[in-house]
Amino acid sequence: MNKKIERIIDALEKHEDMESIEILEELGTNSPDNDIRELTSKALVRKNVHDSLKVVIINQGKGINDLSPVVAMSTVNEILALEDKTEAIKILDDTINMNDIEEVRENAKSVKSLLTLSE
Amino acid sequence: MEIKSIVGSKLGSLTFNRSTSTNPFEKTSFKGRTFNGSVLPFADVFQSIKPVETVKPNKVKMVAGAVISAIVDFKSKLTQPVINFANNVKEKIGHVKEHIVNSIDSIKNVKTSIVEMGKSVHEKVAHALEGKAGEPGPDGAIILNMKHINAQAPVKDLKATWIAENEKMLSKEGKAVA
Repeated sequence: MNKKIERIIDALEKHEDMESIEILEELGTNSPDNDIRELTSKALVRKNVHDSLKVVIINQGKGINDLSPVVAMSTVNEILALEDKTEAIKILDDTINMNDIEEVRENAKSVKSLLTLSE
Repeated sequence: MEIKSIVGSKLGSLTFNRSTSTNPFEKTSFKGRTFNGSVLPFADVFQSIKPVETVKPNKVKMVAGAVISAIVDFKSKLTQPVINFANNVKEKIGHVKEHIVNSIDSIKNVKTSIVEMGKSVHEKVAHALEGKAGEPGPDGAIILNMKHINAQAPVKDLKATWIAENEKMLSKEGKAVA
């Protein structure tokens, strides 16, 4: 993996500017490289804000809905590892109730179940 | 008889003084001075009363002297080169010591110059990298180097750097495919 991109993702994860989420979504989650997508999804989860969690939960093909099982499971594990899961549970509930795509709703239900079991 | 008488009368008138010296000028007056030295008979060479005896050289002594002088000469010939050799060695050791000291100094200087050269190269490379990191990328953003990629860097610069890195990777892949 490119060390420079790895360092950029790490810097964007810690960045206070909310524009960093847009950059991570635009360049990271859309990357053809599985490693970059995995690292970006983890960074978005660790930011633990509404906009960043929304990217990896409600979007098809990103985060927990990624086509790569490795990327999806890594994102789920990162959500389970959060200390404060309040915002994640809120978004998961909204996704289960309101998302148009069934696959996305099913994935959200699975993650919500794992969170409940882990507590 | 006449001749005999004449000769006898003549010889009788001549008187020879044999009592004192063989010097024919003994009775001759030299302006009031009388020469009383002895002379050789029938010669005009003066002869001293006691002739000087010439000392005959002793051959044994001559040989011994020659041998001693030869030994002394041999000793000097033998010892002088040794002394000269020792002096030369001493001088050469001094030169070598001086040369070694100079060499050590020069080696020390070489070490210092290498360190300085390394610093110079490092500074130049760092400056070159800094210059590249400061170059404006697309949309006025700056393409950052590894040192400047952190959470304090502007997001637009981070984005530009990420895009530049993606383009670099794509070009590498394109070259690899070609």
